[in-house]
Amino acid sequence: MDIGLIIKIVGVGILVAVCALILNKSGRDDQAMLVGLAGLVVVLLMLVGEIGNLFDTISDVFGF
Amino acid sequence: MMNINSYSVGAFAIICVICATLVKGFKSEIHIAVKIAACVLISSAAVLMLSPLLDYINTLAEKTLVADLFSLLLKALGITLLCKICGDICRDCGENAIASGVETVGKIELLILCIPLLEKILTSAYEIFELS
Repeated sequence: MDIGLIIKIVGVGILVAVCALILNKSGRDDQAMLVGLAGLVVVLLMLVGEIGNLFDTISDVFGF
Repeated sequence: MMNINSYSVGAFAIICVICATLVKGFKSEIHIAVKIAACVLISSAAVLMLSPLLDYINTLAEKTLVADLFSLLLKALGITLLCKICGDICRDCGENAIASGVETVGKIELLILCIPLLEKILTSAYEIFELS
């Protein structure tokens, strides 16, 4: 249970939001959408490992 | 490994809620990821906290000759917990139908898990009626 993961996700979110805002203001809406999508994928990749850890822990503790 | 207790989990949960609200203002897609991460981490901590207790109960169960039944019970508890966590995450993201699907799968798996027990009961009942 480390707070580092949450802080990382928040950081990615803020960075992506700023990038999307700048791209939106400069009239590149499609690129802003792609940046948002990329941020979401990066965050989900961070999450996948932790979700796998949770499933492994549950299967170890409860003897699946 | 850090010490897991109610104070640290509570503080962690509040920080996660603050972070999720903060991100929601900027980017509404990513705050879901923050919520899922918080839920997964806290659930992992809970399961890790539970493991010494389960080990102790396991040793008690081995002395009472119901170890196989107890392992079945433990497996059922694990399935329930897993489906509950996943269903709650789905419900939190506003997808009630997916959550219901996950919980239904969990219930069916529990029923399938119970079949050997039912068979055992039926066999004992049959033997009793045979004898009498």
